[in-house]
Amino acid sequence: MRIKNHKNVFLALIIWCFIGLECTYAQNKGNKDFYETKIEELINIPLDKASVIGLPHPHQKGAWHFQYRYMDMGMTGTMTSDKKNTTSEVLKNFMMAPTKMHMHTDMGMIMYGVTNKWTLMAMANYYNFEMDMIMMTGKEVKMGSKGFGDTKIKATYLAYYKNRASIMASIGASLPTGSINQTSMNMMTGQIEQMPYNMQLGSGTVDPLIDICYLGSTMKSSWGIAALSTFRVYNNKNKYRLGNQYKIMLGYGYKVSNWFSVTSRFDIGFWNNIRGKDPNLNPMVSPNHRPDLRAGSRFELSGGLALKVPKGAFEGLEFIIDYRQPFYQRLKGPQMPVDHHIVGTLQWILKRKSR
Amino acid sequence: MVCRITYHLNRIKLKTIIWLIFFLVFTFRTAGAQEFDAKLQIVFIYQITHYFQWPNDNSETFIIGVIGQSPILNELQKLAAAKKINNKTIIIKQFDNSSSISDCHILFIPYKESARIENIKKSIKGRHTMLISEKPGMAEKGTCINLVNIDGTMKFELNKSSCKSSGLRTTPMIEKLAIIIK
Repeated sequence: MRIKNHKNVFLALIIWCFIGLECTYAQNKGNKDFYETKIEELINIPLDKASVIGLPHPHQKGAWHFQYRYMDMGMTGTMTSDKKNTTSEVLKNFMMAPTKMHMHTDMGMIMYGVTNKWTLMAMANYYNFEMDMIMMTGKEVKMGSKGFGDTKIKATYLAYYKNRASIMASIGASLPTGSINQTSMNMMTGQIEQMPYNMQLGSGTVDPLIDICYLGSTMKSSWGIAALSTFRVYNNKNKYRLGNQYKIMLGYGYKVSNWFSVTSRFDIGFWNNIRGKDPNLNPMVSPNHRPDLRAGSRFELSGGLALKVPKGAFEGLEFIIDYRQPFYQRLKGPQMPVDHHIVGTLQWILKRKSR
Repeated sequence: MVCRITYHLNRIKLKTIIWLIFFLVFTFRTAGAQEFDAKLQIVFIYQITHYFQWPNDNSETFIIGVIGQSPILNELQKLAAAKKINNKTIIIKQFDNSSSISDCHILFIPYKESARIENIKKSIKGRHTMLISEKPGMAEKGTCINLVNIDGTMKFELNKSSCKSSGLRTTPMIEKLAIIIK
C-alpha cells in the first residue's frame, strides 16, 4: 500500500471524524426503551472506554486480547541532522545512495489477563522490506528482504488502580527469531552479499524490554503516557549490537459512541548507534552499511479512528486505522527519514463475563 | 542554546503546526468530559425514583434540578419529554448557584460543581431533596447517592443518614444493590 498524497489522507481523517460525530448524534436520538433498564443491569454495564492505541495496558483476569496489525512505513531520501541531503551529496562519500524504502509489517499479538494484576503478552512480526538505491553510475538498484522478525514477550504488572487511574510496569524480552543474515545479489559483481543493517529482520540478541505507563479514563475518554525502552546488552553472532531504543508516548482517545472512537498520539523516539561492526559489510557501499550512522530522534503526531462492534456475537471486535506523521527528525546521517506510517489494526478483546 | 532551539523551531513546517493544533484542540475540547455517559446516568436517576418515597408529596410535577452546566441537562430534557415519574410530569430546572436553588425532588451535582457541596447542603436544608453526585468521596460529604466507577462499571454509593435527614425512605432492595457509606 503506498500513500502518495499525505495531505489528502490527513484531510480525509478529519472529515471522517466530523462525519462520525454527526452520525453518532443522529443515532443517539430516540432509544426510549433504554430508560426501562433496571438498576441491577445498569450497575453491571461495562464502562467501556476509548482505545489509546499502542500504549501498554493491562487486562482483567481471564480476558483475552487478540490483535492483528498491518503497518506501512515509507521513507524517502536521506537526512543528516535535520537537513535533507541530495543524492549527489551522498554519492560524494558512498558508492550507493538510498532513495526510497517501504517497510510493510504484519503483526500478531495475544494478551491474557492471568490475574487482575498480571497480564502476559506475546507478539510476532512478519516484515517485508523494499529499498531502492542509486549507484554512482546512475543505475538504480532494488533490494528486498522478508521474513519473521524478533518475537516479543512481556509481563505487565498493574501496580495501582483506583477510580479512573492506573499505573503499570512491564518487563519482557525481544527474542532473536528474526534473521540477521539476509542477503542479496550485488549488481556489479553478481555475487551474493550481506544486506545492510536496516534490511536485516532482527537484532540477533535477546533484548530486555522495560515499559512504564500511566492510564486514565472516564467513560468517554482515555489518555495515557508511557515510557518504553529496549536495551541491547551484548553483541550478536555478526559481532554487533543494535542501539538501545527509548520511546515516550502520549495518547488520547475519545469514545464518540459505543461503536466509534477517535484517537490521537504524540510520540518521541530516541535510538542509539550500532555498536560493533558486521565484518561482512563494507562501510563504503552506502550510509546504511555504516554502524555509526544509525542514531537519531523522531517526534511524531498521529490521528486514528476506531470502529467497534458494541454487541452481539462479535461484541468487542474493533477496527482501528491510524495515520502517523513525523514533524521533526534529527538523524545521525546520512540516514533515511520516515515520511509517514499507516497502521490498520483488527483486534478482539474477550472479557470474562461478570455476574 | 536559545539560538539552537529557534533554529529548529524555524524548520518545523506548516503541517506540523496544523497537526499540533489538531492534537491540542482535540485534547482540550474533551478534557472536561463528564465522568459517566449522560444517558446512563439519566436512566439511573429515572430508575432510582422507583425505590424511594418522598414524604408529603402532593405536587403534580416531579422536579429534577441540576446545579451549574452539565451535558446531563440535554439528556434530562429528553427524559422529561418521554417519561413520567409516579404519574407526574417531569420538570427540569437548572440553577446557576446554590443560592438560587428552589424546591426539587432530586438535585444533581455535576463533577465540576462538587466543590460547592457545603453551600448546596445549606440551601436544601429542611427540604426533601435527594442529592445525587458523581465524584469519588461525595457520599461521605453528604450526598444521598454518589455514582462511582469501580472496576469499569458504574456503581452507586448510598449515604443512608443523608437520605434520612432529607426525609427520604429507602427500601431494602436498593440497600442491597448499593455500596453503603453511612
